[in-house]
Amino acid sequence: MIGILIITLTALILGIVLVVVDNKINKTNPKEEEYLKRLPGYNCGACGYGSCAGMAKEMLKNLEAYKKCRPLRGEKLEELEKYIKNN
Amino acid sequence: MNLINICLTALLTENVVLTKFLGICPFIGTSKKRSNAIYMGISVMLVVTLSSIITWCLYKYLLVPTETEYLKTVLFILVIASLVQLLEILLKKYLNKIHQVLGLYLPLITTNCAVLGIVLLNITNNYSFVEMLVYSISSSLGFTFVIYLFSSMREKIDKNDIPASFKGHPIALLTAAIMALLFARYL
Repeated sequence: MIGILIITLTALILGIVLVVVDNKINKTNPKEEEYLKRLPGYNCGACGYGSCAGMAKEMLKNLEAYKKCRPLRGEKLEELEKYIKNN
Repeated sequence: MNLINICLTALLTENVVLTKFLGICPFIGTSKKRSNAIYMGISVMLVVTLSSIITWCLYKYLLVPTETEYLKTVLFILVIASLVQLLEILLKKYLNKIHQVLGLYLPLITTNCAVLGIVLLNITNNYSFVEMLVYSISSSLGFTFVIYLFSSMREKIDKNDIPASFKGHPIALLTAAIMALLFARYL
């Protein structure tokens, strides 16, 4: 009986610590994820930011940065521009 | 005197990798470059030292008084896994380069048997707090030392002309075998 209690409590404490630390450290902007979703995801690096994640981060500072993305064309481009306009 | 004894045995004569054969996976996997080996060694050292302190305290002050010593494996793995997760979160945020270099091998520290091995040996050898600290630091230092030695050898070997069938991992395993013989004082 006491064994169950010990395991549960330790796991609970460890879990709480992990979640708290992760929430404190990884405060990503929700917009960044939305941008990343609408980028092509090839991670070609042609834009100069290394990867699509790098581009999404850059777009937080400079909204026009997506124009440097080469594979972004057609429907995907329209979708991204629509998202930027609406937000 | 006893502490120096523990330190030197853990570091050299009873090295975790080459005489106890624990932690072979990162030993082979992350020893292609010297820098990777050092990163891996330092991460393992951090995890081993912290988890040794936590698990020793848990065992002495929680498991022994409640007579639930049989839970030690589960509990220790829980602690080690959370510490590795914590290290991964921190590295990803602050030292992203190391996080990318180590890649899959970083979460694999969780199942690195060197970590669980050292933590369990602390208990079976009945060490006091200071002895435990010395043992875990010098054991993980031994791991770092050996993996660094091995990676610098591999860097040199890769530049040489070796038969095609021996390139890459086979020659690495042979090198490791000869190193193990040296550490066991057979040569």
